[in-house]
Amino acid sequence: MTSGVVRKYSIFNESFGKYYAIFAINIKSSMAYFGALFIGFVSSFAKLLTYSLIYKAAFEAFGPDKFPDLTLAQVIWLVVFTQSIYISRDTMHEISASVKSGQIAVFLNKPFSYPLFHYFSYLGKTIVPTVTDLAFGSVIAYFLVGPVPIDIFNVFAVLPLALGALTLIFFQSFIFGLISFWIEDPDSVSRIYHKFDMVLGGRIIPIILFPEPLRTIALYLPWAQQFYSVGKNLIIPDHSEIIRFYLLQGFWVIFFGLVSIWLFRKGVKNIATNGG
Amino acid sequence: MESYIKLSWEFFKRNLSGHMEYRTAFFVEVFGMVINNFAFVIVWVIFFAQFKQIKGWGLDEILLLNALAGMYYGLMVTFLGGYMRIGKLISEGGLDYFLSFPKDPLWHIGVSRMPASALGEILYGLITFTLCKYATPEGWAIYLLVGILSAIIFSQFIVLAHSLNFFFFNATEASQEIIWTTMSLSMAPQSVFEGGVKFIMLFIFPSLLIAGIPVDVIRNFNVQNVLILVGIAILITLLAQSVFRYGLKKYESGNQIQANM
Repeated sequence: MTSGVVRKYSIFNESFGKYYAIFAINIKSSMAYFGALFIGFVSSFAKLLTYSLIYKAAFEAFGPDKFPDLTLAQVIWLVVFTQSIYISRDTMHEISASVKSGQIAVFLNKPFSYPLFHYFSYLGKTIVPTVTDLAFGSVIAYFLVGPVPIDIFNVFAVLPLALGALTLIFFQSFIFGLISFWIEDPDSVSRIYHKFDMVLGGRIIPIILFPEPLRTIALYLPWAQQFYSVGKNLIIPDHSEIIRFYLLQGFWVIFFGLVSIWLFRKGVKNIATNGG
Repeated sequence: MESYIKLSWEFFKRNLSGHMEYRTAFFVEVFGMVINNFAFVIVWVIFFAQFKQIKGWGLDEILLLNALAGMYYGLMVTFLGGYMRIGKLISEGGLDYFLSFPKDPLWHIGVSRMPASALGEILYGLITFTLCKYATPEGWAIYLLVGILSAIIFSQFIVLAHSLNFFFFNATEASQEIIWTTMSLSMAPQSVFEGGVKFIMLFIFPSLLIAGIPVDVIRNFNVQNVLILVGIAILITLLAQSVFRYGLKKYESGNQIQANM
């Protein structure tokens, strides 16, 4: 049996206005608990303090020989940007819960696209904590290692990369959420997958410090596009490299986007055959 | 005391048999956790490929730190895994169930849960220890002893952090943040914490208590260092138990009626 829900369903559904409203509502709701965001300030301070102590000790001992063109301040600011993007909200559990409970069937009857609803709601939930964490991190980094020069042109140049990074994170969370159609609990798989964020995304060790050939390989992988791209092109800009980041990030966004849509369509058919 | 040990063992067996009902999922969780945790070692392998060592710490010390973390965290979540939800129980008024039993409520909360991945943490600790240079026959004995003492210190720190919920409205997120931050700091080379920073790492995010000092005890074993660690374990236990009991006086029931099948 094929339900009407599946036949009529479209990924890109009707006007953009309602998605903007979803985005705005989620921004407002994350602002309602603005005080809670300050809890993160103390832990951001402790983590950045630890990173700066580690890299200070490492750079004092080996930095001038190993990385003559790189400063301690640049490394710490790279970590600040990577950690801020990492703080973006994970939607996997939300999607997984709606799949497991069957709530997704109710969503599909609503006059909006399920993936777009979650995408805009994710962006709305993510922007406030990300910007707040970046602000906290910047203040802490400023006092720990001082400022780094940032060109205003580069700020505008990395904005599309920031949106692309968040989009990539969303698609991966969405995919893991949809896996619940076939696996009872996607947590253990996603936990292992997300360790690649930590190792190859430059979250703890910026990719510029990786030994070769790992550095070159890591720069082509999706994790560099989602965590490392923004900080790298802002702190250590290289206009020839930014084009490569745009292209690679675009490739991975399209890749994960197509996988998401394919899995979603396949999963939705499961609801029809199981009766929802 | 003896009855508590016997009952703890019974709870452990009950928790384990509950997980064994879904045997495949259980083994996926256990071995998945081992693979998952090795990512921390890989990060440091990359780091030390470039920087060799920092302030006397190299890859062997990081392996030791990871081995100890696997052991103390694994032991804690295996035998007192319920401690991780104390804050939620307090803020949602869910302690009523545990208060209705004759046994100590804090002990009961602890033994009531064991995540499926708990044994994977211990396994990770044991595997990582075999890879480092400290894995001599005496080293194994010291590692196991220090692992148990660290698990006691860590579990009591969890109680203290979650007890914030007795005194502050909805502090669940704050207590979780303190715990996870301390854990992530305890995975860093502890030799970088010097001067005033030591104060933060002892009293606010006590990574030195749960990781820094125990690793030093394994590296430079002597009876005096072990006695210091035993002293820390006793002090933090007394403090955590007192704070929890004092907090219980401020606890407000959630009037929850639960059927525990």
